[in-house]
Amino acid sequence: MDMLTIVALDVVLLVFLLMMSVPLPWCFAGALSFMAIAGGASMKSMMLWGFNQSIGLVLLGSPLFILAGMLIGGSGIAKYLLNFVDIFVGRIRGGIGAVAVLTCGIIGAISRSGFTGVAATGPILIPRMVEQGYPRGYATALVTVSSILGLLIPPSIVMIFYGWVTETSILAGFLSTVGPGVAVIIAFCTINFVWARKFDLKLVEKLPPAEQRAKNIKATIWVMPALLLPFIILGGIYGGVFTPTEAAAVGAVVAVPIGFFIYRELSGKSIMTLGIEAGQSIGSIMTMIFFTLMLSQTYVLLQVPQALISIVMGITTDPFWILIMVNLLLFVVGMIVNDITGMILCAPLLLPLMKTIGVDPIHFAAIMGVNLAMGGVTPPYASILYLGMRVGKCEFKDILGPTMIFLIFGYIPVVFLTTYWPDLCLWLPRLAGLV
Amino acid sequence: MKSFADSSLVRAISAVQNGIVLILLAVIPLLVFTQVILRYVLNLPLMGIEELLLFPAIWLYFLGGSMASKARNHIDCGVLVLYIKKETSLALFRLVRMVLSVIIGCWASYWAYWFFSYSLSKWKQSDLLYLPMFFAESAVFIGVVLMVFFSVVELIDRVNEYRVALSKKD
Repeated sequence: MDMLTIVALDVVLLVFLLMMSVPLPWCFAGALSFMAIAGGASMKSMMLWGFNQSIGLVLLGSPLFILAGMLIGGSGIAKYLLNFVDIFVGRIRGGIGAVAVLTCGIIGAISRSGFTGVAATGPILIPRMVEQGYPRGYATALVTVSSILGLLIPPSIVMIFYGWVTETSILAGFLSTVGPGVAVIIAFCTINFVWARKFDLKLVEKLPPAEQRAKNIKATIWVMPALLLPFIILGGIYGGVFTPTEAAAVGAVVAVPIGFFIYRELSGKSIMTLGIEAGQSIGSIMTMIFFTLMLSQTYVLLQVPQALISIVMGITTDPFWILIMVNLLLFVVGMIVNDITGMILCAPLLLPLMKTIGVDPIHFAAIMGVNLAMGGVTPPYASILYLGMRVGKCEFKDILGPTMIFLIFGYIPVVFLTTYWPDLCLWLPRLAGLV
Repeated sequence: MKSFADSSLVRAISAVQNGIVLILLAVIPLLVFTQVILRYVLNLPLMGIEELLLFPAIWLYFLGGSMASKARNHIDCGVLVLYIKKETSLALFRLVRMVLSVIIGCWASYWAYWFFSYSLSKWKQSDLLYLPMFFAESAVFIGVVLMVFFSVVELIDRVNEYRVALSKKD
């Protein structure tokens, strides 16, 4: 059997294991075992290589960001953020929908996770939207799709992995998805304002000016500690004070007093529970990465990226169509695995092809970021969507329609903008002198 | 009947690994935070903290993986489950899923054991602090074996679940 057939069979095996709901670390270990047995990959050198890669300090940033995100997510900041964003757009018709989009974006910057957006804002926001006259399916879909922003607004965990596997600047990767993230916010808010006209909405009664002012000041004061966190993290990283790993640790340490003493939602018991949940999430992701790394490395050693370049170049040499193919591939990958796995598996394989057609590696970071982030709400692997259904107490059939509308008319155009308008992703890294 | 997952052995192992992971989750950010304070505030960078960190970090990754196996909380692509309506078919699907997991886990354990033995025989030391790397490298073997152990625990439950589903069908 030639090498490409073996790799193709390996991919088939991997998809089979994924479809069988085998836990992800075992899926990748299974595909790796096939490469070792049928492809002759040396497991001795893979084990040594995999371990050495796993102990990198850069990689430690990701678990620390997960821990900080869980602590801050459990500290009850969502309601203070909602009250704060409500000051600006709450009184407009359809404003609460925009509140959902913006809050999920800000929570993303604080927690660096798509799940926190749904889990923290959903239980408060969805009933409030339903009360105001939004259909439950629509409200749940809006909060759910907006939570993707957590994966685009920096610091995004997936960019740590991109920078790490491709040896490019992590800071530039963080900034590359800011433009697409802002474009998604604008697109979702616009769709929401247009769509909201069709609903029979009850607007919140206007308060007397003095009372409104007092309410606004109170909401602003209460949100400050929560907003301090992204300020410390991003300010520290881009001010050259911390590395991303150090920023993640500072975030985790600072999140505890904020949740404990200011918002008073954290207790000794809840910290233990959150710690155990964080331990499980970190372990689940890091063991999966351990096996994914080795699998990806076997493909690289067997020169799959080079084979991929010659196959694609044999079909077309036009960068437009190659980017269409890459987008489609990433879309499918996002549908079956989570964003981190997709990144580790595909970035080393596709980056040489992208370099061949003249795509900047940081531009490609943004292309991968926006495509794989969408995977969180596109079945079958649609972890954020499933969580949204649970939080919003909503059936799949009710959430699917509005979700698709937001994706087709809001998100996919941004994917195309990201792909074919590099300045959208590169202006900020250029401004920071990172590209 | 009490399931094996509720046995005192499983609960004891789980309690120990939960305790260790909670300690590691406190130690790692505090070590990095201390380094930040020493470097940027007191201007006294402490050599070797980065190297020291790799020991708790690797244990956190693999014991965390084992915790996720215990809690049956590993990420998976659980879409087919949504479309299987028959109780027997669902029980069979879950059983096959765990059989595959255990087979792959055993293969991974074999190679983790090879790495463990290699590490023990070489007894490498870290570059700066001369700490034996075995104490970090052994985490891979122990973590993978615990993951397989909890997969076997789940497999036993799935076998029982399938038997119950079959008996209901009859």
